[in-house]
Amino acid sequence: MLRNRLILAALWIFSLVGISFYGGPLTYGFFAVMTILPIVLLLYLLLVLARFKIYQHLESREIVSNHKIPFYFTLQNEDLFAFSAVRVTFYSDFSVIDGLSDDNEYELLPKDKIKKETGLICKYRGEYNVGIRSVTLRDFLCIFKITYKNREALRVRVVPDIITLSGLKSIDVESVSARDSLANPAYPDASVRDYITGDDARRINWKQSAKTGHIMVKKFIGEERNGVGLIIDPYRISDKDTEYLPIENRILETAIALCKLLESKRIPVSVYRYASGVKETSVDSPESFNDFYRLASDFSFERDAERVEMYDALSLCKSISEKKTVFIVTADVNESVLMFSKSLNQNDIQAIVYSVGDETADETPVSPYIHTKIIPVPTTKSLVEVI
Amino acid sequence: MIEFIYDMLYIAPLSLTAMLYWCGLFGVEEPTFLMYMAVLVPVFVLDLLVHLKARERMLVLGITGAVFVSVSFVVSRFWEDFYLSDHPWIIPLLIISVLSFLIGFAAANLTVFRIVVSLSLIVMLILSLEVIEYPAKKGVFAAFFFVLVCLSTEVHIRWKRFGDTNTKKHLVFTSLFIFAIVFTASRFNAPDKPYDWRLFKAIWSQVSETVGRLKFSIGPGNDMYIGFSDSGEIGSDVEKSDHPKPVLEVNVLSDINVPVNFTGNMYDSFDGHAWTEQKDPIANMRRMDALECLFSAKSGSEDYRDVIRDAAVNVKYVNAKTRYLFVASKLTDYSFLSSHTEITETSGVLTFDKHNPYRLEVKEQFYKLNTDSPAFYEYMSTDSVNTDEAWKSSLRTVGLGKLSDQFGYDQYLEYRESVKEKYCEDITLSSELKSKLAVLYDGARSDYEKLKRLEQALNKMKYTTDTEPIPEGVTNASEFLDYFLLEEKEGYCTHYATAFVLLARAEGLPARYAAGYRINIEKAGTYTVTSNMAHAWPEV
Repeated sequence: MLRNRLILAALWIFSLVGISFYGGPLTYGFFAVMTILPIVLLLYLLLVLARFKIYQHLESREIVSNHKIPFYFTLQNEDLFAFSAVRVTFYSDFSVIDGLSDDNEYELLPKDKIKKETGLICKYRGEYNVGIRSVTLRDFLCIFKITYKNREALRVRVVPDIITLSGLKSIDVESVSARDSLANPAYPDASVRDYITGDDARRINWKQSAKTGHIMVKKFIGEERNGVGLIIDPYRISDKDTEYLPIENRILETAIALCKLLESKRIPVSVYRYASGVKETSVDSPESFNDFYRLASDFSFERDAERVEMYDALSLCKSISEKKTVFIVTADVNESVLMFSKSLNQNDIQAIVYSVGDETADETPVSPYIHTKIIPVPTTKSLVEVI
Repeated sequence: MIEFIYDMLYIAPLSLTAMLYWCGLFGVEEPTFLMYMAVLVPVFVLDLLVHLKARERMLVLGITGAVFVSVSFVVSRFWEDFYLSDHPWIIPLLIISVLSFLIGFAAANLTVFRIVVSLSLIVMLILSLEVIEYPAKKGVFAAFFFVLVCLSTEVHIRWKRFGDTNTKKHLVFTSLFIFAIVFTASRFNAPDKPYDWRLFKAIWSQVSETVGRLKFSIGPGNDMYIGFSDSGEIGSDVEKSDHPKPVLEVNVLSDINVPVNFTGNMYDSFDGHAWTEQKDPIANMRRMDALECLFSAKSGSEDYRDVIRDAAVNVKYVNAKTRYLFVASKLTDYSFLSSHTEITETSGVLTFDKHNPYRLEVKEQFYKLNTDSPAFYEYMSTDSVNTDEAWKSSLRTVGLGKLSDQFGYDQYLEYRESVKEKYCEDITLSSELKSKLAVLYDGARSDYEKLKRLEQALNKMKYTTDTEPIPEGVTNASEFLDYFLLEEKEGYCTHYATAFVLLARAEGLPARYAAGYRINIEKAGTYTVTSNMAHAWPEV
């Protein structure tokens, strides 16, 4: 197109030279044609812009991510002149139109209609526009183009996918909630653990407390760990939706997949989130899982999430202290996460951190603690393959 | 139907172009309706025949043949008279029509043919500019239409798209826009002469003027270098650039044939290094100076026109931004041709309040001294008779007879005294210089002869702009004269003008130092004054 424009400009300048040296209908006519040509082509484009019709349809506005949903669009020419080139561009950051390319240009003769039936796949959870983003029109001599932004975009609400796992790599699912040993590995000679707010003061083991320098309480023999804890870190890593949407989608998929797996094994899961305080949701039945799924679909991430406060509050949470294993799904393994996992370890709780992001295995932080595992979860790989 | 229209989009303009070229070749200025029909109807029928089915084709051919044969039999004589005598062009046009159909049909359906035919058409049009006969306007636009149709088709063929990409349908359904382009273009005038760009030149001129005005108003102040300087300092501001700037444009309205000095500033006092204006100003000095000149010429010669003549110039400020109005010596009148502005006169020096307006143009009338005439030198050598009556006669000559109370003889005498007081002073010469001057002036019969000898003596000295600054020890006129004439012995206009003025004063003659521009004017015409034409001269 640039080449054609340059040729047109060169010919117009040539016509100016022509009329400067010769008179007559040839030179003046050539100048007039070269001057009027771009004007008529632009008018043609404006006419096409005003007259062409485009329709798009999506079966539903509530979609599950990575599930194909029927989509079609129609281009129509109801006039008596041809539409030389109509190019349709789709939203592609978070969705894919199956079998259609943005590079296709369509020609529509009078009374022509083009209908394309295909499927739409939304890649991530969230609320965003899908379908036709813009339409580009070109004239029949391929000199000018006009791009028209679609003002009636399809807005969809996408919920996370439920991925079924058969097990967890390098983790024995059954053991995550087994009865524990009485010994606190940190303190092999005493069945004690760290004091947590709410513990009975009569249970304080003063001797161990003096030894260790902080308050330790006795553990009752037979004290069992109830199920598994799951923490979804609400921290948003970026302001750009192209960066945070894939990660948040993967975090929720991971959390949902874990809950589903554990629920299927009849292992109760307590899901913890922080909203001006620790909020706990139990998942121990298909119904409660569905409730949790709805909750996860609406889960909101924030750039300025109070992570420090959240992990501090979680470390003091009595309910967590009774777990055997705690899963943390986060986009950013920072100091707070590591300190929290350390405090879990000190209480004989295994911490498994799923670090969601685009880091490679080499880039993923290494856990400094024996009973904390950090497992990278890239957004580009299949979840089943990763965890 | 689509195919029929598609073919016609090629064949019709081609046949029209061919017909109009033929008409141009054979001197047919305006083809008749019948001629158009003779070309278009056959191509229409032929194209129709091509696209009809076999049975329909036979039917059409049969009917056409029957009509033709019956007409031939029934009106055979009419045929001979009509076709061969009154309209001899019918046969050639029919041939053109058939050929156009064949070529057009081939161009419509074969890419190579299409490209060759359109390129041939372009070449023929270009050759029409110089070599071959010009087609009529309609023929030119028919050719443009054909070329645009070919172009549109070629673009379409090479453009990958989806949907219904039938080239013929595409062209048929976009041809309306191509027709609109050509039709609209044909409505415009096509003069026989090339375009003179008058409008654009006027716009350009206006834009340049506006930009120039803007640059003038925000540009450098009165310090911008124009060669002329009002500092009065000897040996400063010499134009050394290889590219002197134009400063003024002087349009001389009649032949002058002598150099003319345009004065910017004049001075009365010299301190050894620089000229300054120290003494009291003289009112109406310019007017009085010119009147005195006329008075003297009328008194001292039989016909004053042998000594002085009226002259007029228009002076236009081109690049100058200065406080000074440059006026010719012996100025009699001036008027502004462009914007009017206020002028202040102080001892004959005319100045603006801040600086000249942009592109100021002023008409100046003055007395040109006929220094190229022998009568002038005779006049200069003889004393004139000054009487009140002679003075009044001079006033009447310039139309100031009624202003005798302002410019009367008594006022003139007062003016002369003022001039002597302002421009004459005692100059103490060194004994060495005195003795040299005594030798120089020996035998001179008049002050004029003395001054001529002095001029010749100074002309013999070396003229150079590459001079040393005047030493700090030179603190007055006498020391300067000794330094310049006895020691340095070289300089340029400022040095020589200063020396002449001081030596004239030493002889008791009123003289002043003037600075401005000197132009060697001969014939009437426009002269450009550049910065390197700045000059200083003595006025006695």
